[in-house]
Amino acid sequence: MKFGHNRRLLYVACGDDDVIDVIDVATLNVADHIPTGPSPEMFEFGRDEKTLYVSNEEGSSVQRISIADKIIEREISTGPEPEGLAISADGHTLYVTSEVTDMVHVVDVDTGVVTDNVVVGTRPRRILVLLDGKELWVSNELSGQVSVIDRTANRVSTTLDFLPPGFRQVDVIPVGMTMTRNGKSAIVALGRANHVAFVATATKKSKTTSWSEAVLGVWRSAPTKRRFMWRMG
Amino acid sequence: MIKGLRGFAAAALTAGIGVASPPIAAPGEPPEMGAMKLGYVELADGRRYANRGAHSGIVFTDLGRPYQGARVALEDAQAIGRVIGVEFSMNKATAASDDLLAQQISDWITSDGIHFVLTDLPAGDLTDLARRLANRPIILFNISAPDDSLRGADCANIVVHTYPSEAMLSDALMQYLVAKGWLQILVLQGPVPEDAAMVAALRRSAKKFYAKIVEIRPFLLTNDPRNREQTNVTLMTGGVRYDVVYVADSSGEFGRYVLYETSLPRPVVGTAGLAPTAWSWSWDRDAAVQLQHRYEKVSPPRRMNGADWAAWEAVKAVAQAVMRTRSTDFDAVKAFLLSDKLTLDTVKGNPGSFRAWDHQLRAPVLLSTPDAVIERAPLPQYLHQTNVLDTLGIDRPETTCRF
Repeated sequence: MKFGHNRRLLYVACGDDDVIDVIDVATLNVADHIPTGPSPEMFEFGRDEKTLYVSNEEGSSVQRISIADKIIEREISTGPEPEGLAISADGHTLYVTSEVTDMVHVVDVDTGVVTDNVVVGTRPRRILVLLDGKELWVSNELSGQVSVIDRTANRVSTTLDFLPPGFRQVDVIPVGMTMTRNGKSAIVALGRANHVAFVATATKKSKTTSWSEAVLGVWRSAPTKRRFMWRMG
Repeated sequence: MIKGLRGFAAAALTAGIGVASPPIAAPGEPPEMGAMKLGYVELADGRRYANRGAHSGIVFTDLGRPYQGARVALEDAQAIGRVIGVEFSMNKATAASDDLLAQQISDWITSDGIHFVLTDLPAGDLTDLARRLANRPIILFNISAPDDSLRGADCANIVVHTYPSEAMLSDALMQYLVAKGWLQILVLQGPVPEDAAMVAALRRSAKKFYAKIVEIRPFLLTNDPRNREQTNVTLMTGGVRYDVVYVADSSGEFGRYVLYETSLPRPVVGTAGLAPTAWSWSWDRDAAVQLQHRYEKVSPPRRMNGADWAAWEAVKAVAQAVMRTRSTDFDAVKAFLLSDKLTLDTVKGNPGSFRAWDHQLRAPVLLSTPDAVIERAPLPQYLHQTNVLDTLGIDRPETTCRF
């Protein structure tokens, strides 16, 4: 799910219906539907919010869709089971994980061509782009680590391990990640290890905090009265 | 399904707007193509795969050979191979005897550089083959035989098992029965050795998890009225108290009549009713649906079964080992494959790896009916000192395997 148009619209990917529903936040009604390929998983806006990039887990592809015309403008083949997506700040490079091939594809958005592939951990799920744009963080579900990719070289520069006290490595299942507004801390949900890790993005030092059972998702909501809320589930 | 809009999207797509080529390495540098060739062998005699019930002309189960599972994994591996510069391929051989299979594999080792071979063989033939190829640079993946003897007294250093053992399957079922409080088990056992093996495993599991087998009653497949005590389900399930009926019937012909015929109203488990399986087409978690669909594209109208899954895991294990070692050298790949660094996607939630003491893939087991998965084992109530997957099957202190 993502907000668009200054939070007046909420876009929701509906995997079983092969569509992205657009909800008018004021009325809480579905205002529009944007058809996608089979089983849309995650999506990202293009630089100007006029296009959507959608990963289709069933079709092993990423599609670029024009929001206004609802036409699939381009389809980029990926390895099997693409999921996590991220776009560079300049909007020219798209990154997508392929869960089965354990890699991140680097796609030139303008030509739609995969220009590079970065091998990461086992079953990579989501991607986080750091605020300075220099690093990508990729959560690897089955190897229990986060791969840090140096964007200039498109190589993994370091791997972050997590092991909260009293849990086993196999319980550490990182999927959802988010960042603080100032980009200084990243937050990684650790799945069956019932913890959440707060990682300083500069030093990579992390601290785990006990949370609910099986926490997989982490989001950051807008600040209200100078309080930040992280909603986990 | 919003059919109208879907049709619109399809129409827009076929208007011919750019479909890009499949992902490859950075343009300008052709990748260095090492080769990783795998093998797949089976016996021509399809006794295990004969259609059940075919004598009456009605086919009521179709087991299906697992080669397609390996093919799907090969396609997945080739996607990885295009990036790391390794060409994955697989040779298949069907032979009439173990002699001929051993000869074929020998030729593969020396002439084709094939060192990882999937075997779809019954236990006796696999043991024979392993003996003939002992000490050769080869790994044989057992993708379909559940026999505990293969993981115990008849274990072989060159054999690795991706299909679950009889002990793992009965432990999974027993965990569920005990968690439900269905502790008193009445067993109906069929006449063939496979049925006896299932019951032997069940007895071990009952002892392990503190359930009680109240009685084992044999059944026969016959119309002879003098044998009604061994054919009439109501008679066979009377005169004793129990919580659940376990059916050991590998033919499938008897078991399908047990539910609704029992003397007491009780759930039926084992080869009928709730069964422990390596895979179920109805499993819909952990991206199983995507794998199931990739399989169905390759093999319509069949659905993936347990041996297909085991074949898929075997090829995937080799692909992961090659990817992580960046090598196609047999010793390097084998070492990684058998190490604890392997984090194999079992598509059932937990990462899998091979047990050091008997080379059995540790993986969850699904408790399934013909059209649904009721539970995944190991159940959360069961603990283990190192890996909860080792609550299923023979653990290190109990193994009789000596490599």
